[in-house]
Order: sequence, then structure tokens, then C-alpha cells
Amino acid sequence: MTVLEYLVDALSGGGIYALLTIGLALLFSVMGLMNFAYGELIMTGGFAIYLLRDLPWPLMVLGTIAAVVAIALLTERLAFRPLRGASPLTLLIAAFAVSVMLQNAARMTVGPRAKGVEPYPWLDGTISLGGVDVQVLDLVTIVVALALIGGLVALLRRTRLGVQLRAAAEDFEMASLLGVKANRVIAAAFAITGVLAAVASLMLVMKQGSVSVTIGSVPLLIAFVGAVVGGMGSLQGAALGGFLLGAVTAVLDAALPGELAPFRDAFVFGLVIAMLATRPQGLVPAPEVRV
Amino acid sequence: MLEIRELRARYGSIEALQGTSLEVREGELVGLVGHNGVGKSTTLKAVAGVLKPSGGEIRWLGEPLRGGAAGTIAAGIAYVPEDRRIFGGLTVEENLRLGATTRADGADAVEADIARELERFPSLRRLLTRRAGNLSGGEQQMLAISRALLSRPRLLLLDEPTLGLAPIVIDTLFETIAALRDEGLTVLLVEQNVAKTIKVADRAYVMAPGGRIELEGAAAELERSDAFRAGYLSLAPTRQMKAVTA
Repeated sequence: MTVLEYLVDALSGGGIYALLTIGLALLFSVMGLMNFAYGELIMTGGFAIYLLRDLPWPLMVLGTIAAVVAIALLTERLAFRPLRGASPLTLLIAAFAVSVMLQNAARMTVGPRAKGVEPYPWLDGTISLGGVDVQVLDLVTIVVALALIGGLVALLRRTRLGVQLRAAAEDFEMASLLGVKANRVIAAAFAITGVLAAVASLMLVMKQGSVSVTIGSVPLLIAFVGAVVGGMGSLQGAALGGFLLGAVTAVLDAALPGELAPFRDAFVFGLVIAMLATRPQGLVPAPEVRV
Repeated sequence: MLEIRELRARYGSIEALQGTSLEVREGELVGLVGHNGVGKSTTLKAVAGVLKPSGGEIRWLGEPLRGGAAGTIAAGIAYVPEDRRIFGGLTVEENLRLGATTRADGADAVEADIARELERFPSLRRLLTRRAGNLSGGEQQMLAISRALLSRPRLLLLDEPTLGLAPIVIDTLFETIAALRDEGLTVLLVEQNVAKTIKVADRAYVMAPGGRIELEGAAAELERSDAFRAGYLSLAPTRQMKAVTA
């Protein structure tokens, strides 16, 4: 393996994980919700891809994003809005309930067995970069992840809604006291989460070539660990934590010798434990106001 | 303009306010003073809509004030909380613009108001692009007040604005608060710095534990009253003062 190959693996693995953690951290910082139904948003995306697989790819992508955003907004409206202001523990239990309901609804409708989704042939190919063969899917993943994160940063920095979201993430009550509309900001956060989950599901399904009701479980765990590594409640931290987690996993995947490869996750989580032992507040702690 | 009648509020089993009544008239600067923990901040929190009263009434322009925090800001009441609560991760400019969230009178009017705030607190001008969390305590307080003013409130609720600040900054802030009243703004000021509050306020209420109003009246009269001087200015009553100086 060359440095370039490692770099492509690290960037594409880190890119997907960063999208996942940002989605989870955004809701946590805005409303104290650790959304364990996030995995089911990814599952929704997976099934939307499966159901729309015969459409031209741009329509399939748009349809998938629309479906996941719709489910994300629906869970907000029906499950989380009535619990506004409840303790994080209550929200956590509600999120578990939503997760179980969505998973079982999918089992009853689309079916319990994994479905194969044929990846697009053009994504499957490789192109030569600096003498190294690189998978098109990896390149697309990197470009899309960068574009999405860049778009999200621009939204958060440049737009009125973005500034309101950041303010609400820091101090929800104070933002309300200035007239920031809670329902609007929270719905926007859920919609953003939906877009991120939809794109992550596209990457995952194209990579795995199949979709099942549990497709979101591992990504949820990764997003959770990434958010903890980065520092709960800080969006930059979440992006960094997710990225590092993904990059380290991808590099270990490629670099570990055959007999150690099955223990990849043990290495990754060993590093996480070592990191948390030295920096329990995460890499980028949530901003604190100096008084 | 603002009438608080028999207001009750509790934190769990502790009843912090056991029937507080006070009034703020249009154009007044009203001071609410008293020792630590008597319920001054609780009163402001109830008016601001962040604490639900357990009894009594808050009336604004003759109507009951409703709708929590959103209702308060919509009614034209801006609240600067005790710990300022500026958004530390946002820039100073972003903090200011958030203050204008409820405004519907166009970008030009907001720009003009931001310019006016930067004249009021010139030190904020060079800090506009700085993260607000990196500001000093005094600068944060200026930012918090400017942010509140950007909503163009009719009533400003200030909770302990000078807490923990350097003496020179405290003097500037009191001058600013007096200037705001002179501009026509109605202000309800909660303060521990009784001596300075009584100098700038038109009227004042002195709160005792449980939110009971112990003394009230025109600030100048209160300042002369023996009970007030002995209890709250840490001074001996007037006659004894004379005896000492004689």
C-alpha cells in the first residue's frame, strides 16, 4: 500500500463517520437529545434506496433524502416535540422507543431479510491516480462528505438560521429569550440530521451492496463514540472525532496483518479508551463562557 | 406599565417569592435591591418567562403577560440575565444580530441600531469578529446589554449587571443605565450595589427574604431614610452620622 492509498481510505472512511457524528451531535447540542433512532434514519435511507433502485440515480438520491428528512421531521413532531424540555434521560428512552418502532415497522412492511442493492457500475470502477488504482466510490464519498460538511459550515456561519442554530446549541433558553423560534430551529436541526443520515446511508449501501433493518446499528454506535471522542455538544469536535475514528478504522483495516485483522475494533476502541483517559472532556470541549 | 401582584414562585419545596408586588411605570428606572437570596433575580426570571410563577399575576400594559420566554420578547420586554449568557462560541457581531431576531423593520434599521450600540460601547467595535467567549467580563456585560437593546425593547430587565466587574467598569455601566433611562427606555434594575443603584434610580424597592417588599419609594427619599441607610447602605442613621462628624 502506498501513502496515497492509505490517504484515500482514511479520507473516505473518516468522511462517512464525520457525517454520522455531526448528525448525532447537532441534535444533542441543540436539544439534549441523544437520538438513538438515528440508526433507523439510516435504515429508512437504505430501504428508500432499495425501493427506488430502478429510478435514474439523481431521482433515487433525491427521493432517499426526501424520505429520510420526512421521517426525521415526523419523529420530531410526534415523539420529541411533546417532550420538549424533558430531561435528557426521558428523551433518551423516547429515542429508544422510536428506534424500536421504526425498526419493527420496517420489518413488517419491507421485510425482515436483507435486500441486495446492485451498486451502480460506474461507482464500482477504479481510476488511476498518481499510478495508484483508486475506487470511484471512495472518491465520490470523499467529495460528497467534504461538500456536505462545507455546505453545513457555510449554513451555520453565513445564514440567519445557522447562527440561530449555533446559538440554540449553546444556550437554548437564552436563544428563546431573544426570540429565536424553538420549533423552527429544532425542526431545522432534525432536517439537517435527516440529510446527513440519508447521504450516509447512500454511501453505506453502495459499499455493502445490501440493506437490512439493522444497517444503522453499527453506524449509530460509531457516531456515538465519535461524538464522545470529539466532545459532546461541540459540532467541530464531533466532526473531528468522527473523522479520526473513521480514518483510524480505515487505516487499521488496511494496515493490520492478516492474523490481527479480526481485532481491528479492539484496537480502535482501545485507542478511544486511551484518549478518553487522558482527555475525558473530548478533543474539543463544548464552548464555555468566561465569566 | 408592568404590574406584579402577589407573585409567588418556588424552587421545589422552597417558596422563593411569597407574594411580591411592585410596579414599573413608563420611562422609569426602578431599582430592586436587597440582600443576597431574597428573591430579586427570581422576580426578574418570572417576568422574563423563564420561571413559571406558582401564583399571583404579572400584567404588562394592563394585560396578563403570557407565553413564557417567547411571549416576553414578543411583548417588547428584553432580559439581561445575571450571568449575561452571551453565546461564547459566536462572534460579537453574531451575538448582536441575534438580539434583533424579532425585528421586522428591515435590515437598514438593524444596521443603524448596531452602529448606535457601537457608539454606546466603543470598545465592542474592534471586537466585532472576535469570539464572544474571549471577551472580558465587562465587555461581555456591554455585549449582553447591547444585544438586549437590539430588540428595541420597551422595558429592559437587568439582573445584577455589575456583578464581579472592576470598579471603573461598574461606574461606566451605571452611567450607561442612567443614559438609557434618559433616552426614554423603561428599566427594572436588580442590583446588589445599593449605593450606586439608589443614585441613578427614580424609584426603588427594597426586598426582604421571601420576596417581601420591605421599603419602597422615590430613590432620593429612600436614600435619606434612616431605615434604608442603616439596613442597606451599611451606614449609621443620619443623626448618628452627624454626631460622629461633629
